[in-house]
Amino acid sequence: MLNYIARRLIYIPLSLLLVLCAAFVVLRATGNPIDIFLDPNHTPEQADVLTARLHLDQPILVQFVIYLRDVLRGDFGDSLQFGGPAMPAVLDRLGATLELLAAALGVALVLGIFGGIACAVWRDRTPDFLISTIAIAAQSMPSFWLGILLIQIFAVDLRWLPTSGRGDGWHLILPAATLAAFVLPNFVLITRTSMLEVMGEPFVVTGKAKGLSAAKLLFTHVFPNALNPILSFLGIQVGRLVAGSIVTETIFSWPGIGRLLIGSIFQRDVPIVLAGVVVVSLFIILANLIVDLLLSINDPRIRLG
Amino acid sequence: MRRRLFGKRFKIVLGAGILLCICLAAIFAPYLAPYDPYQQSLVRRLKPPAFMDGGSLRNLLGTDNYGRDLLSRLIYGSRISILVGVASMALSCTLGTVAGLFAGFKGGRVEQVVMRFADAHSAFPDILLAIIMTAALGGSALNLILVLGISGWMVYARLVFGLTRSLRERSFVEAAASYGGSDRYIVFRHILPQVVPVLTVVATLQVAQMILQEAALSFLGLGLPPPAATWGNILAEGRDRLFGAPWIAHTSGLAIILVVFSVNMLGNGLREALDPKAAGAGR
Amino acid sequence: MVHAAKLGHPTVTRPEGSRSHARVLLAATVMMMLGQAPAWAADTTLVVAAATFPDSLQTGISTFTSTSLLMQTYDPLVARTNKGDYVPALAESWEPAGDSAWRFHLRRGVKFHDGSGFTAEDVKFTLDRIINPQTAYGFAGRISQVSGVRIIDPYTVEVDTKGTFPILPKAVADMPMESKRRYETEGANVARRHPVGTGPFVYGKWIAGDRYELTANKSYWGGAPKVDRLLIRQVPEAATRVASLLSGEAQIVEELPIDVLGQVEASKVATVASIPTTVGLVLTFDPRKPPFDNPKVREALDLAVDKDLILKEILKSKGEVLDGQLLTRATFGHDASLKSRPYDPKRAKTLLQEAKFDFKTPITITTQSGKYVSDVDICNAVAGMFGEIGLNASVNVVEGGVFLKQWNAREMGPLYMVGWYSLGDADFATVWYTEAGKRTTWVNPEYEKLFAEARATNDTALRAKDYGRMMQILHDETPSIFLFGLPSLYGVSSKVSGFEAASDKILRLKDVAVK
Repeated sequence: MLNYIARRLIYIPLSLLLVLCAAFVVLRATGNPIDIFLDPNHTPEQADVLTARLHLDQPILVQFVIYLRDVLRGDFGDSLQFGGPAMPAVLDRLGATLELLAAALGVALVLGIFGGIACAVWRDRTPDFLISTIAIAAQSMPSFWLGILLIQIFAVDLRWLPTSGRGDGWHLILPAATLAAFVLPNFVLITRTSMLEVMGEPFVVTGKAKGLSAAKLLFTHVFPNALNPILSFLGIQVGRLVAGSIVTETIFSWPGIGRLLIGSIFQRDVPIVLAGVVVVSLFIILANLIVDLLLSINDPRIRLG
Repeated sequence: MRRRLFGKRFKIVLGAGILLCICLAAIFAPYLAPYDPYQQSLVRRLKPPAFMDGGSLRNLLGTDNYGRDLLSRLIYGSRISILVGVASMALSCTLGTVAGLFAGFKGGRVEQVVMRFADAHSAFPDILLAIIMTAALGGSALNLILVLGISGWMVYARLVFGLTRSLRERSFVEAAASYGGSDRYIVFRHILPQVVPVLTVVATLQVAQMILQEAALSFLGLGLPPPAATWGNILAEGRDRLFGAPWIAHTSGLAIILVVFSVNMLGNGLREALDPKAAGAGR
Repeated sequence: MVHAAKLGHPTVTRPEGSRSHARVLLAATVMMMLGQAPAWAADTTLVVAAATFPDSLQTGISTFTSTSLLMQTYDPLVARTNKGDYVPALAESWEPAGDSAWRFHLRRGVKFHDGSGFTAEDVKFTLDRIINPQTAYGFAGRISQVSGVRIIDPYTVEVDTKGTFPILPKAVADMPMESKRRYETEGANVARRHPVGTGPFVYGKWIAGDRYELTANKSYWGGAPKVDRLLIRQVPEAATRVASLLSGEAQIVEELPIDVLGQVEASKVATVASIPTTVGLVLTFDPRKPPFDNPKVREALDLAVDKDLILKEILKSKGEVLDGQLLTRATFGHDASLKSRPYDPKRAKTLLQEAKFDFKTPITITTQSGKYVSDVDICNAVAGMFGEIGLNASVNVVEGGVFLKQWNAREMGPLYMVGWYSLGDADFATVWYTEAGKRTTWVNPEYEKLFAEARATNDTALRAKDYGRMMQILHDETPSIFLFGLPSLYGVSSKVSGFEAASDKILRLKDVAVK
């Protein structure tokens, strides 16, 4: 087990290196920060200063090596828009994004699992039909459209909730619902399938024969055994959620990493983009690692490695 | 016997049926569309659909902000949306399958390289990569397909790798190898046929994802450049006018829902029919 | 903390009474515990929804959006008004001191928010910092002719320039005067994060990408603001911005999408405020490459664009059609004798045929999306009009970074869209058509000569004459199709009085009151 964790941890820097390299090359190849950051009538001296600061006169490979050297020292460079160091600027936004992700994931997990269980219990009957259809339909909705519709209905017409921004809990509802809708349907479907599979296993049939009540059987025998596919699925969903948060944050003016990243990509604020990519990638990797560990705890039969 | 309201056959038939209609509409767009989808008329801007106040039968679904007929644009838009969805799926499926087969069959160092690469790529949110790449390459249908195609290969690679590795150990493959069957023979004759059913399910569902990704990229201003009619473009253009001309966003949004819904139906139906155990894999 | 929570929902009329009740009670309790008078009953908060935010409040980012936020807490030496006139601010008056210097007489008794007095030391410190290349100050290029600053007495400074520099007073209008003392005692990092200026509002709290909270500077030299608090929120999505106006969450909304003007007016809860900006939107040719090296071809394409129709239908008659020249009507140097070429597709076709123009030549119009009001819409409409006379036109929308990269390489294709701001003086805009400006590939020796002459004299009449002639050259040669002076559009809640749309998009909120 420890061995396994150690091995997974070793791969993290490798993954990050590949991710960084790809992002670095593409960003540098497609826009010169000088053109974007300085006023069109910048003085030549200003251009020289920036060129020297970003080592723009060097070949791109050298630039990357210099960058890596600085990163290993914990220096992600200074943001071009922000002036200050890039990493703290990204971490400043992490809280908002984590809040949104946690809320969305919580909603999606709880509703998804209960919906899925309901589908499995009433398999092929009306509740199953309704829930599965709504799930598939919700999955088919472009999330930015859903978000704007929710704003129109709940903020403008009904005036129950604020349109946008981050504040108290009321501000969280619409963005979290929009983001949850992005992954919730998958949880319903995976829970349903997984539950149905376990319900067909011999030990469940035996339990039923022994006269266990339906509810007890469901929550003590079936669900714990159906949990693993749901958990392993959770790992994949974290990546999708992070991706979905970019759009959600834009619509709801949510001050998170996703919006910072997209703005920085457009502005070619390379230090911010790279620092953000490291944070986001690390988050996804760690989330997956935790999910795998949970898996092994829930089901000791799974040998890690 | 329970009433089967929503069986796999129903899902497949419904999904495939709607898709077939949409594909036919895409193919015969020039005959179906009442107007040229690119014909502008500034004096007929933002006319509501026939069923709303102020609408007329002249433009059944109304017009957009250049006075172009929305129905015609939606019909033509199905072409690019479906093309992008299917082609990018095909690209990532091919890339991923080849990589997965290679890694699973060769094992050793090849396996390490391919799978580590897949790991790294999975840690990079696909939309972020797509954004960086489209920002760099500029928007065209080909670039969009490339970008979306490249961002989705890992799923197939993992799936095919897992299956290949377990099949390789199986007796019939070992037997074939001991009879001197070439690698290629073994792959095409024994391994691919086993993998295809699962792939079909994942690939179908991915088409839906790709169509939604195209819409998301359009929302972020990185879709196909105008005047191209794609559903994502129409929806993205319409969202700014949700308060003035809601029909633009709603008709294109419904079109996307319809096609993605039927693809999802078809995919879920196929999943139940072909391989119940693979449910959920690769999404 | 309580302040922040309260600012989150300023005067929003939401029905859940008990919740907000509890919060007000809590706020009151905390305030009394802190020994403050519970003044919240009379507290008014103005909420502004801004389209874009800079990523920090540091000076020197030098975009309209950063200047707009900075000018809430800072003042410049010379201020611009909403209409674009230049008026005294921290400098009460100014005059040329010889041929290569300007003298500024500073306002007395002005205090920074930390209580220290504003003097010539601060002016020298600020300007020296701007012209230092290490600072990477965005607007530094505007005063690149400045060679040094001399303090004459605590309330008089002289700014030395390389040669005569007539537009210096206008050029410093977007440069906030910072406190020397603060930089020296707190360091640049603190000064950058927590602005302390002389302006109408006092810094409260800044959350990047989210909100900027300020309180009124009751002892502002120009009179206290009419609201107690100001909250500027970033709401990048246009639809969300409109929603926040209609729901009553925000009282002033920037960059209102043009197609919802009707809905906003009809809503009865808000109105539209607009004013022409000094941004001239143009489509620029690449005259190095045939067939666009032929002025007749460029003229023909100009004739093929029905600018009045686009103004009416797409810009909803906000803004203006440029008078066949680069400068907007309100800009110094505008030549009133010139008029836009009237729409004449027949003549356009004839001219093209006479020039033996190949109608299959691809004419791509390159533009960014969302950079200017209705930019892509306008390009599309123009391409459509080219199509009507049989030309092969298309629109190429590129992302900002790519646009700038192509632009710097001077490979923009046959036509591209750009907006040039003039800030009320021809110099700022005309420089882009000179060789030194490095922005167009069109070259004209007479134009170059006139530009250099006008830039090097304080004689206003001579400058006006020079710019007028330059406008005529631009009109005749048509290096660009001169389209529109763009409007600046705001949505304003009917609860608000005293707000005016600003031609330079800088929020001036001192006199705004909320009912």
